[in-house]
Amino acid sequence: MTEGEYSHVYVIMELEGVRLVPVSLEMLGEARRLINNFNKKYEADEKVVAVLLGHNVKDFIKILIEYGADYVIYVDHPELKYVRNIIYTKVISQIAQDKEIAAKISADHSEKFKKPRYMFFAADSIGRHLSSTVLVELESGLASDINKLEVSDINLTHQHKTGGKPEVYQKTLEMYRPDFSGFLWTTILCLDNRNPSNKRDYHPQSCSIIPGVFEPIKPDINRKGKIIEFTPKIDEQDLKVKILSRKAIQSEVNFDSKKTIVSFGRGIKDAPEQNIKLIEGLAKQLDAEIGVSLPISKKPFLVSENLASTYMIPDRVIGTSGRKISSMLYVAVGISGAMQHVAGMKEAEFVVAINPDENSLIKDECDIFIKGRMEDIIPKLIEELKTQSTLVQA
Amino acid sequence: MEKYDVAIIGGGSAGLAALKQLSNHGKQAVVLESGSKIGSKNISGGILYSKKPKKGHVHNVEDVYGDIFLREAPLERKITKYILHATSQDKVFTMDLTAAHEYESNFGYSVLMNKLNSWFAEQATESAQKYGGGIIPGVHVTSIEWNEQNNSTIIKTNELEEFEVKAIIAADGVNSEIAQITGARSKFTPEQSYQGVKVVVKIPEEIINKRFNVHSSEGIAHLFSGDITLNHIGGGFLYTNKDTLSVGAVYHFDSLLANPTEPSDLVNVMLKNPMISEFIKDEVPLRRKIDKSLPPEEQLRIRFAITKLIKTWYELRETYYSERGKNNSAEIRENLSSVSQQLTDKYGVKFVTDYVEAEYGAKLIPDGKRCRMTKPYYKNILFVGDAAGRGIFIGPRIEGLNVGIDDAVRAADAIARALDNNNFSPSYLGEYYTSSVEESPYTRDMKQIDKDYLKIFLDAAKGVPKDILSARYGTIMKLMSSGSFRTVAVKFANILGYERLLPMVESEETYVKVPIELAERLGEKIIKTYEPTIPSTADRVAKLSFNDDSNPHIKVLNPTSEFMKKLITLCPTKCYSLENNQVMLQHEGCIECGTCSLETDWNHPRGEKGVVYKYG
Repeated sequence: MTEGEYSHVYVIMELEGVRLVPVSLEMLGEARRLINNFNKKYEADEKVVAVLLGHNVKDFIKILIEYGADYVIYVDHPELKYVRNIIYTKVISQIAQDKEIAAKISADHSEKFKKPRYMFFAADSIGRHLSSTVLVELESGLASDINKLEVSDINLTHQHKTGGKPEVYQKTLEMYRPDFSGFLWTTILCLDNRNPSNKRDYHPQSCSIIPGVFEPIKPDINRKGKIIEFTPKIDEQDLKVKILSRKAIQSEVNFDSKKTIVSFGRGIKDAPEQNIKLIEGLAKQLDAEIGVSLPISKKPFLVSENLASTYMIPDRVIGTSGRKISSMLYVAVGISGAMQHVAGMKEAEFVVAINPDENSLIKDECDIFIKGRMEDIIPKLIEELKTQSTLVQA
Repeated sequence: MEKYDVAIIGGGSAGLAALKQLSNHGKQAVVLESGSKIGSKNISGGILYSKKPKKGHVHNVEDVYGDIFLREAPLERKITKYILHATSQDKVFTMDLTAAHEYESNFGYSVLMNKLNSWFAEQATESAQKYGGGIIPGVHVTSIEWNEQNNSTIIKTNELEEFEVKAIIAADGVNSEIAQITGARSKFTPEQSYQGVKVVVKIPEEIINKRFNVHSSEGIAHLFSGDITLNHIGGGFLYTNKDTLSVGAVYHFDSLLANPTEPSDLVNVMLKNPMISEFIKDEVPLRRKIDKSLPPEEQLRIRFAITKLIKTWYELRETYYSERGKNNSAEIRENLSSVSQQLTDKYGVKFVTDYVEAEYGAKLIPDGKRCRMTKPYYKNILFVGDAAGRGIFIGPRIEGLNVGIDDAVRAADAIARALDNNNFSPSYLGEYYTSSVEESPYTRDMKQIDKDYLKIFLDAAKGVPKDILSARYGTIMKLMSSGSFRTVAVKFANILGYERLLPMVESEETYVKVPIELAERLGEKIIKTYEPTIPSTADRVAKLSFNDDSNPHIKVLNPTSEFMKKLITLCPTKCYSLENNQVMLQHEGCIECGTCSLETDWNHPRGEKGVVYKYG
């Protein structure tokens, strides 16, 4: 490897519909921090380059600059409206190897430019797939599911890599991930072969990054960045996969991200529609996710289509044939405490049950048992929570 | 329409023996099993016997599978000691009944059904395939129809196209649906059945060897009576397997209905008994709660790391305490201590004395004395084993696996004969099978008292003070203790018949009161060194694997009946609850024991659905 063949960090942005997927900005943030340190340490002037593919995506460019990109390379093309692996792989690979782009970013050594120094992808289903196929095109390695990054100079003696002689690998990206063996971390390195009998380069050093690990930087509306439009060479051969229709099947339910879960069971039966709305209100007040007991998922009561399709669904079931949760607070409303449900809530830290029947089984499974009808109790709870929260805010 | 010679419904140990035996005759047969894999729905207390009766002949497992059985079958341990304990709180009085275990017996091995039946299935498939037969898992038979015109029998299932057979062996267990859809027999009543409940406890092999003072190839059966019965008719058991223990209890369903107790409590009282607590104890890692204020990623990483390390710890430890671990034990010990060091230092895991429960299960058991089918056939369907209500319950002697295998061989032989002569009429097939089963020494044991077997108990009870026994059983004891009188008395008793005799013997006196008195007066005090942490029923169910079916396989017929209300307590997985005085079923979590079948529309789940036992 000679100076200038590999430079900058290219970060592959990801869009979902009209939104930037949050991990895109998290990756930019981490790239920014990494490159700042890098430039200081090596007295260099390498750049954070955001790569944005899609259709009608120009609105996002400014945001990317605010969040730390020095350059935004974008491709705006109707065929790129949705992610299709083959065409996305081709376009990203073209960008990564384009000397003109490299010259625009930095005139120094741009003749020698081969590929980026580092490349980041999101470790979600799209990014994991894309990263693997792009790195095949770029003929380098990939570390998946990374949650910590560092750049350092590494002394290494290795039979295969260095032919048994000590070598210093400068500016090496150390990529960390939780280990399969249960030990703390694995560090993954992507190193060139310097063994004379088997010489070849492995660049870019690339990884996919777990969403939610890194913080985006504070956006700065005054940040300056440059924009490069790229016109890809699109081969009809790569458009064979057609998107006929799209249906989002992603679950709206996320039990893990909330500290509190409010769930309800057949106890809503007296006035299902109104009671579900009451529970919605309580959940909102507690910033809680809503769960249900198994029988509810079989839609035993008639309620409006909207409520039924939002709440009376298998995705929300907590129990043996649903999810097992471990929230800090668990509020069981109108749940009798059938074994099938209890098995899913055992790990909750603190359990409050609201039930008119003091002989119900849930009484043995909770920390606080409120005897009464939910119609009477929830409004009082909401009232009290509101007062408390205004007090706290004051 | 596809055609097979014989369909065997149910791939338990009886159905598989039938398949093997039919292929031994060179006949084509298919086993239809509703579980996704053979063995996934089978559970037993856990001893498989091979017998050599003084009179008559039985077909043993090694006769069916050949010498390879004793060489290669995944047997746990050969039971060499059979001990009965009478308990009262922390006191235990012990009697050696090894003579009863060895009576007329070639061997008795402790077994776990999933492993064993999988092996049977391999053996049977290999021979069956030569004749165009085999095993089809994931298939639930729904009906059987007879076309009188062309004399054909058609089997319909949830999963396959209907197909035609010449004869059927119904080996679909105690809750036989084939018996119900054909009306061949009525459902078993509470007085005809027992409920068994069992947990499998994990302990490394070498620790079992040391604790029970046995070699790796031998094992012990411990039986329990007294206060651990919670006043029910029946008793508890603890069998040593290779690296697990089977701990459970079997009670007369009648006495459970009279005094409803949760099945899990019946096994819990066993686990809490000081003697058993000491038997099952082991070193167990105790996790510390993960700090919830850490970032979610970090929490996840810690949970991941601990789970992985604990798994490694268990694996290493299991190897260390096993035969195969002896070769490089120093290296393994070093690894083991480094893993526990990490768990303690990095993750605050503590190592405590407790026990490890691997699986919870339950099963209904037919009492052959009271419920065996007198004519175990319907048209060209032959019923075997549990499906025919054929299980042996005589005092501590509980046998089902060997009876089912013997029946299966007789049924297979009868069908082979019918195939040879193309005659499947009741007189040629059904009656022939009936008389064959009637000749079986096992049937004799379901009908009469064996005075020699009885003597073993009288001898074992010699050390028991006469006043305890005679106060309870006065005249009977006097008659039975003398050799000449005993012959007369047994003859007389056999004239009276089991039915009139049983209430006297199968009583609270026998199983509860006398044992308690024995333990209190003569028992040895046992000190418990820790208190086992017993999982709740919900925890136990959560640990089992299920493939839930959204369609319930059970329907409640009468939601206000007294029987159904008792099921709220008696269902081993608490699938029933009361709402507005009506019994409601939530079928998810059902382990298909059939305890509730008497007053429900009870079916096995569709193919591949329902519980999957790992041990069984």
